[in-house]
Amino acid sequence: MTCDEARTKLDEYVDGDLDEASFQEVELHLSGCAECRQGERLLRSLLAQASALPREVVPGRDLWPELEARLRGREGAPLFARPALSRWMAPLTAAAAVVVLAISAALGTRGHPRPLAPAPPGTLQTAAMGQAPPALLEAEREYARAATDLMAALDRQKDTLSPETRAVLDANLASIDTALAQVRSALQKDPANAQLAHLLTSTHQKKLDALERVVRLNRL
Amino acid sequence: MSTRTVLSLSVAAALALAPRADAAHRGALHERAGHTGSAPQPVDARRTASADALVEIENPAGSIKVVGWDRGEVAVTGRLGAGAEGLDFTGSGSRIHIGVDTERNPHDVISSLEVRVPSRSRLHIESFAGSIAVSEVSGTVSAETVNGSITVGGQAHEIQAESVNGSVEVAGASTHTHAESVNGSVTVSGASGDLDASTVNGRLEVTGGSFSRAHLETVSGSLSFQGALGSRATFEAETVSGSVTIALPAAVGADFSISTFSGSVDNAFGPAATRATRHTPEKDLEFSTGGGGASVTIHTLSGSIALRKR
Repeated sequence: MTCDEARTKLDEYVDGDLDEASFQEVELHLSGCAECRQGERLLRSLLAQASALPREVVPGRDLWPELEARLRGREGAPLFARPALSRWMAPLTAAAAVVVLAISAALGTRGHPRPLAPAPPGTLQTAAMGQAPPALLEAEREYARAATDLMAALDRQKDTLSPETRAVLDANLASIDTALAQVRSALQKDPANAQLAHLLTSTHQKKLDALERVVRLNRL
Repeated sequence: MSTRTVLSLSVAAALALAPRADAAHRGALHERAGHTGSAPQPVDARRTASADALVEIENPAGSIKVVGWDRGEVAVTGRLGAGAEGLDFTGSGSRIHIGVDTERNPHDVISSLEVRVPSRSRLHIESFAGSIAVSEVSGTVSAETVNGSITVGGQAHEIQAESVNGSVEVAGASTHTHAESVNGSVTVSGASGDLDASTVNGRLEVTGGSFSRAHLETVSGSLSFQGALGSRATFEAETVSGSVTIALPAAVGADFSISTFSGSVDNAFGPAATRATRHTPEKDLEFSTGGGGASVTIHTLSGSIALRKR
C-alpha cells in the first residue's frame, strides 16, 4: 500500500469502518511509515478536539462509566482491535499542546514560550501575592483531574499490579510532585514567566505519561 | 476550547484504547505452540517471514531478546514460565505475532524469549515486568516496558524505546529516535537526525552525530549532550532541578536562548548570563556564534547550565 492509498483510507480507519482486509493493510502500512503515522495522530487529535467543541461547558465526564466498564473488562466491543504502540498517545500530546497554547495565549505569547517583559512595578504586588494566571490554574486543575482518573484506573488494577511496582511508581510520582511544587513556588515569585508555565505543564505531562503507560501495559 | 474537556477526552481515549486481552489478533490465524502446565517449559518454534515483516512480541514478564539475522523466518526459543498456557505464535509472511498466553496473573509468569527475526523487520515489543534487548536489526524498533531495562543496538533507523522503571540505552545509527524513562537513565549514542529523549529521575546522556532536531527533558536528572547540530537545527533542553551540560563544536553556528530561574550559567562560548529582572533571581542569556543558524534553547528552574566547546 502506498502512502497516498493509506491516506485515502485513514478516515475510515480511524472511524473503524474498514473491512478486515483493508484494516490490516492500513495498519501494516502505518506500522512502517512514520509520516503516515504522524498523519493518523493528527487526525485523531483533530477528532478529539472536534468532539470537545460542543462540550465547551460540560466536560466529557459522561463518557466515563462506559470507559470504566471497558477498562474493567466487562462486555463491550473494543474501539480498536489491536492498537499499535503509541497510537493513542496523540490525544494526550494534543491535550498538552492545547494547554500550553492556552497558557501561552493567556500570557500573550505564541509558539515556544519566551520570557515576557518584566512586570511593571504596579503589578509586582500581584506577583508578591502569588497569583498565577487563571488559564494556568485551570490547566493545573485539569492535569490534576486527568491524573486522578488515571490513578483510579490504576487502583482498579491492583490485583495485577505488584506492590513493588506500585511503590516505585508512587515514589516517582512523588518526585514529580516535588518538582511541580518547586515550579509553583517559582511561579509565585514570577507569575508572568511563560517559561515557568511551560515547565509546569511539561512536568504535569510527564506524570500523565508515566501513569498511562503503567495502566496500559498492566493489561498485557 | 476547554482544556478540561480536551484533557478529559484525552485520558478517556487513552484508557478506552488500552490493549485488551480479548482484542488481540484481529484476523490472525490463532495457533498455539507449547503446553499447559505449571512448570517452566522450553519453547522452540519458527515461521516463515518476509524480509521486512512486522513482528509483534508481547511477554508480560521476564525477558525478550531479539536478534536480527539474514534468514526469511522468525524463530522463537527460550522458556515459558510456570503458569504459561502456551506460546501464541501466529501469522506468517508480512506479519507475525508472538505472545505468552497465561492462565493466571501474567505478571507472575516469568518467561524468557529469544527471537530471531529478519534483519529488516519492524518490531513492536511490549512487556510489563521484563527487560528488552534488540540487536542486529536494521528496520524499525518500538519497545516498551514498565519494570525493566531496554537496550537497542544495531542499525535500526527508527527507534522508540520507553520504560518506566528501568534504564533505556540506544546505541546505533538511528536517525529517528525516541528514548524515554521515568526512573532510569537514558543513554543515546551514535544517533543522529531527529531525537526526543526524556527521563524524570535518571541521568540523560546523549553522544552522537549531527542532529536536525533534538528535544531533551528531565525533571531532576542531569542532562548532558555531546554532538553536532545541523545548520538549521532546533535543539531544546529543559530540566526542573537537573543540571544541563551541552558540548558543541567550537565552530558551531547557532543562536542561543538560555534561562534559569535560580540556577547558574557557565558559558564557554562567550557572554555571561545576566539577571532578567531585579525582582527575581532569573538569569537570561541570548547570543549567537558562528554567524548563527541552529536554534539552541535551554531552560531550567534550578539546575545549573554549562555550555562547553568540544
